[in-house]
Amino acid sequence: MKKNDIILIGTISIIAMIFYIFVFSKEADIVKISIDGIEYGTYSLDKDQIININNSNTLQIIDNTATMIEADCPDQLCIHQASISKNRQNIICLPNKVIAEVISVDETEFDVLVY
Amino acid sequence: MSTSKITYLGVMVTIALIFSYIEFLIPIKFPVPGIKLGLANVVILVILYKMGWKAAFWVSTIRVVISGFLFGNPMMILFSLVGCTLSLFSMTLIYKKDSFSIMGVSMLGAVMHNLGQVLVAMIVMESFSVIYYFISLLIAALFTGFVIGIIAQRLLAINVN
Repeated sequence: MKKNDIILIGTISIIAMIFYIFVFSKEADIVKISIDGIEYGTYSLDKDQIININNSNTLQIIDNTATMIEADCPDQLCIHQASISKNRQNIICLPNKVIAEVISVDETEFDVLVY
Repeated sequence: MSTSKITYLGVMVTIALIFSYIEFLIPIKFPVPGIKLGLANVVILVILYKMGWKAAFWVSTIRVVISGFLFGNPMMILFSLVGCTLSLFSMTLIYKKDSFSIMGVSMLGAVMHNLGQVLVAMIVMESFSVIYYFISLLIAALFTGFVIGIIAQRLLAINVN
């Protein structure tokens, strides 16, 4: 290990830590679902519900936590992704181009608050 | 390119493919999905140090294309190609200067591999949010890069030929 190795580890750890402390630490309030970059809908995490996304994926919300429970794609990677509840965490289904992102309301812009 | 070099690189591609296959068979579970140890990168690192970036580039590109067809899909090839090219490019920039150990080189390579894949994901998904996923991969990349670096260092120390 050389000095530059330590600097590299330090820099990357600090970047990650800044995000963990200032972004990922907040509890999320809403889940925003987009398909192919276009917003599909925004749902509250407070209410337990099952959301059908375009008949391709199914997202379940229980106890302020979102989990992808069904997908019609062959790889099923999004099903195995962990449940999300912290600000800016997301579940991505690449084949269907679906992103479910949970967001803390006090951080979001006003156009999202309209929903 | 001499015949012995072609043969040598061919064997290296095969070894890298076997590593990919082992990881495909026994995926090591990490808390965040999408994280792999990237055993095949041991081969790329060793070739980079022994034979330079051109040889490493060919082995890594051929490895990615073949393993994509064998264990993945065309989309996976695109992701891996961008990832491994960016990774090799960054490692080539710093490995000769002797200012980083092989672990440091490997760690930067791992981070850049993730960055490349996330950039493709951002374009494919047409969403910026994927970058937050990259952040959660950073610490894992340091860890896996370090492990791969140590293995490569041990292999280079043996020096078979």
